[in-house]
Amino acid sequence: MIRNVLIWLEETACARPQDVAFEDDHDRLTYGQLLSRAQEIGSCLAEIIPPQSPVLVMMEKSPDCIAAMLGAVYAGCFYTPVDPAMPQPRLKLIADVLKPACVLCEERFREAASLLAGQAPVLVTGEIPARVDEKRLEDIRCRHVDTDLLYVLFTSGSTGVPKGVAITHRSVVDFIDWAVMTLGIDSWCVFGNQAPLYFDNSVLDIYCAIRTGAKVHFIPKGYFAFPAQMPGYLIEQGVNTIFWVPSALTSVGQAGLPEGKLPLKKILFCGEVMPCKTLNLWKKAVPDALFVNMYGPTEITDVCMYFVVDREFADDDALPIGVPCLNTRIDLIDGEICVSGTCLSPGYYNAPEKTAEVFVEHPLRRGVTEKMYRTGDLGRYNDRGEMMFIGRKDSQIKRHGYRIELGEIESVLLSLEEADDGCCLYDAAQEMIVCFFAGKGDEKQLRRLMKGKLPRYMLPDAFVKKAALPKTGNGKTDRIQLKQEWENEHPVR
Amino acid sequence: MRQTIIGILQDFNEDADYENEQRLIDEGIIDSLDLTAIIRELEEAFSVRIDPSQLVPKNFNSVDAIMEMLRRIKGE
Repeated sequence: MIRNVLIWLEETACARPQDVAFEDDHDRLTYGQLLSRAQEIGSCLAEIIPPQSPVLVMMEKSPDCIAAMLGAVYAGCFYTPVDPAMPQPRLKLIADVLKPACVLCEERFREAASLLAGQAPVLVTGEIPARVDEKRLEDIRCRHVDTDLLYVLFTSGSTGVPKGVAITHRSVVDFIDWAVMTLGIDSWCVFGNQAPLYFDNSVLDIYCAIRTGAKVHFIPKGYFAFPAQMPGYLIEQGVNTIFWVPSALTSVGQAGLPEGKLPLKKILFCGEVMPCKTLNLWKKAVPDALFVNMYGPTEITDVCMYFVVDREFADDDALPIGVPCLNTRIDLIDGEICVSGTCLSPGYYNAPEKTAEVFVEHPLRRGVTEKMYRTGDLGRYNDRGEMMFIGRKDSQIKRHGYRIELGEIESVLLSLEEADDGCCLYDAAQEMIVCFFAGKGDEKQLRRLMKGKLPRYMLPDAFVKKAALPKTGNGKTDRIQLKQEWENEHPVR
Repeated sequence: MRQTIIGILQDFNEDADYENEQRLIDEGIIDSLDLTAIIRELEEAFSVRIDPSQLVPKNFNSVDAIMEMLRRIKGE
């Protein structure tokens, strides 16, 4: 059996062509329509670029964006979704690493896309003809091998350049097979999608649906900003399955949940530490739902460990991250969670040195080399043999579920003329990124300048100007002192 | 109070007629993504805690609405 996500799409479209696949408040595509549209886009792409090329997809989250991503796959290529609202400098960094063979976008982003594409063509989705070149698509399919890349997703890079995590068809098929079996996904599932398409939590929503014929409803961002309105929206849309970051569950949970009214059957979470206080809020509202905590960096295809909530937890308990997924080996080496198995990314795209730093030879294998990914996460086993997440080895943080290298923010800060010195720290209790700086700029200026370079989710919450940053004996910025100062002046309420 | 609120909003979006606009959220003048940061600044400026149940669009659609919401919270 060839492992190619498109085979799932074709089987599902054949079995249930009229069922809605993806929808938002404006549009929807049935499986039949999604298949046609993806094949049309694929046919058009295949005329202008060779297979195994990178395609940058610069579109807002929508059913058509999914069709575009799958269209790239039909052309034998792999896709990188980016948020068109992201500042141009960062999009340029991504394009410089990826070197896309083509940029797919909506009409309104044509100009921005041209700046990124360089010599590569820009394909506006509205201009793609409704024509399928079956012979060409078949030729491309014959040459597919499951280690072909499906997507490259960019994550924060500590030196200021985002890293492109490459993922193959094989590992996605493996992951989705696990997810469908373990979580009991079927065609009755209605996913209320929260994750942006450039975060791999969306991979579970998208491909579980394509595999089973479930429906994905893209929840508008406004409902996360105004969480009191969310329960009504979930009821209205009949959402029964959600895979959200814990921050979203916390914010909606705290805004008030009606008991016994929500149609939710599966509540899945991943991306950051899940507070048991939040878990208990939701358990009270939907006591019979399945609750599953999941863990996994982008480098291991979304999720590599999971914990099905099977017992009571006090509000201040720590929730386990559990046990490995199918076909995944987890080793704790010097306290660090290390992952091996099919789920591993082949590496960071066009970044062999960064790849070699964290994808290493498994120290416990003899005779042949096997790759192992060092997550940088520290863990330990509890009395029941379940893995507990302890913390990070370095200065990577999670804020609202987004993975952020503080070094990337610092890198951008130091690139500004208005700052001579700077340092970022994270106040976990208040979920704030604080940026200390010295230089000729003021707080407002810095905020405005950083907004032009960093995606929203990476923007510091507070800027503190100092005459000079305190240094330790060896000349490095004294982060501990800065942290102490901040905590003294801003005690948790 | 009014000027402080306008000052905070201007930090996030300079070009808006905060004196008169009645559809700050509906028209996307206040970006929902900036809301967390705006709320934090309001809380700090006025020494209040804005409960998640207050996070509904009508409380933020105009400077008057924001003032009204803050007065209500302080009154409690």
